[in-house]
Amino acid sequence: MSKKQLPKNKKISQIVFKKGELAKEVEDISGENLFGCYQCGTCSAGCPYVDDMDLTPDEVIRYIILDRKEVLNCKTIWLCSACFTCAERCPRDINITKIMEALRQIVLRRKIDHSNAHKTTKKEREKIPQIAFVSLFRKNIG
Amino acid sequence: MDKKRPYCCRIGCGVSIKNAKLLSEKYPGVKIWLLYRDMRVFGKEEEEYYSDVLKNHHVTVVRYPGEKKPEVILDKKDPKNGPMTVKVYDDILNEELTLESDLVVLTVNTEGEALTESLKNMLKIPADSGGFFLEAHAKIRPLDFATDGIYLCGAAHYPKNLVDSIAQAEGAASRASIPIMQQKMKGEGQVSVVNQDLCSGCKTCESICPYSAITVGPLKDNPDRLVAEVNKALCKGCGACAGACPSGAIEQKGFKAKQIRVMLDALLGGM
Amino acid sequence: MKLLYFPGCTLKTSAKNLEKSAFAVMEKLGHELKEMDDWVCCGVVASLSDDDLMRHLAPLRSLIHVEDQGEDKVITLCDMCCNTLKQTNLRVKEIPDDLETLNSFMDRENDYKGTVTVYHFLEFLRDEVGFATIKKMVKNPLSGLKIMPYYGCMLLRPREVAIDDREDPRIMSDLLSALGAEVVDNPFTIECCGSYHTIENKEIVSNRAHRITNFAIERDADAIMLSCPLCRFNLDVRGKEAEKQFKGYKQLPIYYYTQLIAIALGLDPAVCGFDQHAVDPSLLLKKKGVYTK
Repeated sequence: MSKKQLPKNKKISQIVFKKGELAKEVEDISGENLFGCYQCGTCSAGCPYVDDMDLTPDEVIRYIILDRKEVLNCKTIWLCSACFTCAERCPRDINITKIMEALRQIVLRRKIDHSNAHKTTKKEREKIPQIAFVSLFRKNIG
Repeated sequence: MDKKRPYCCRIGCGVSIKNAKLLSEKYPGVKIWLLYRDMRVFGKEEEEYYSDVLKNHHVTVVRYPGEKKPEVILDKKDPKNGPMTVKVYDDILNEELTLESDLVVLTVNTEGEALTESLKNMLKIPADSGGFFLEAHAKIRPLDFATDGIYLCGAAHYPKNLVDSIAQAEGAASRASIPIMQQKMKGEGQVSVVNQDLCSGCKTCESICPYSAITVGPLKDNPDRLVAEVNKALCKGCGACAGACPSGAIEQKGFKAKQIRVMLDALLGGM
Repeated sequence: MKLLYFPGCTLKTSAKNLEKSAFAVMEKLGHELKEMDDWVCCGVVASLSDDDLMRHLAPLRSLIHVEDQGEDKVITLCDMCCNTLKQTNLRVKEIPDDLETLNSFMDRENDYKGTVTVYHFLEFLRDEVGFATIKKMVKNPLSGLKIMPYYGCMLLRPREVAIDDREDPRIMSDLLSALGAEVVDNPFTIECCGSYHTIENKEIVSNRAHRITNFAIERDADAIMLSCPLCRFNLDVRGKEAEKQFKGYKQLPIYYYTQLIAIALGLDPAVCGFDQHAVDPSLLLKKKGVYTK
């Protein structure tokens, strides 16, 4: 089976990591050492959005360990809603939620936003609870 | 673990991790890949050791499926000393990875001692297909054989680490010291006895005895004749020999032919 | 007891009914909720990066203002606010250096001394009031109602701020039993509702609402009870939208726990503000004869 095809993004492929390695930058931001992962797949099993994701959470961890920058292009990190289910169930006590956030931050901190919230209709804006907007801004805008 | 050696050696995983750690300490910054079909660290506190090595030495692990073993490809120009390429199938990503490496360290399973076959026949003690000896009973008599006087320990019994081997060795030595210290042993009462006049020396009883208690050898007064002799110390009174003897030369005390006939008469009562 | 209350933005708009019913319930129980002065948006969700303190400023500010008002307890109704405030509170208590940095950055505010404890209203009802007490006060038991409790994420995860067991929580079922309703257990009771995806990825949320509700329907539930305003929106509004997508599917009515307590205690249904919901929850109550005493 060949490598999964992820979308390409010029801005993201130009990202240079501060310490030379994706895993080290993720560790800096999240405080999590993901080398302890033993590929049990519990995180992916509990993730509510896994059906819509291109890379499952355990695959995302593999990509980071194998230093593959293209993981920053996947849909997965933007689909994650930080529900913490994976982090609570990981038998190695790895906080995958924080790792997903670290990947988002690596992109967002370089001023590459990931939201079209301004396109929301007026009607929707009045209906939807503010907490949804605030958390969207937190997650997808640098 | 595979079809050829269907058992766990208990030390392989620990050894690989230890090697990874030693390499990382000696050559800081070197990239280490640990390829495994599965990882099970067995000993005391080895789980913490494993965790520590992976996290603090940044060892990259790759799990491959059992059917797709990794392949080592030697350098074409310099097969003896050149760099190697290792192809391994990552089970999570469903992808084949190609890794360049300067050093490939193999950790293989352990096997039973080559001498097992001959020892087995000589001492009449059982061994399995892997070349490991079989104890009398896994729970009740883990260091004994069915045959008295022979004791078992260490990797001859089953692959194990040093700590367990030492513990078992001390146990086996203690077991062996019991008859030595006692200088006397209580024998089984219902042992078999050979009527050497009737014995034809056919060796059926010798081969059938599970306790190696019978030896067939030349008679003292008449070396041309072979007769069986029962070692009362080893005999456990199972009666197999008595049942097998074609000449009726062996009888078991307490279950002699006459005694059994009387019991049958009483049981069937005037039929 | 008079307790300080942190509303959060949503409780003043799309979840006004949650606030109104909670206040009514408190009054009936003989306690009082007093809205705190100078509360600011808590800035959901809690900061997930270890190296970033900026996102702790907003929640910390509100905690400082609680101390300024001379209180050491603050109650929230919004699950997300509760989670965010609790996590910031924990961070500054565990890492005093961070607290110092934050305090010195906010030089116009008083220093946070770390004396405040944040409670969710459900915790208050369980621990301070007691479900047994509530049960004794029930005038209009919710008999004949089969309700599925739904926790969502914020009440139970991460474990440091959970108000009950993460995999097998009992707080909502215990409350429902005290109110006389029949509890319908469901493996999706702690699944994420879709959260902020409701803005840009509506289909994901309506799919989730459909999945969660379907499990309840299969187990014969009549309704779903929850506590988070965003969960309510996602299951109620997006769930109703899912009716167009899935043939024959009918979204179940959604209740806030405060509304059910209000009804069970015999209060005027007007405090529940049922008209704010997409699927009218009063219809089921009327059908089962428990709408009013």
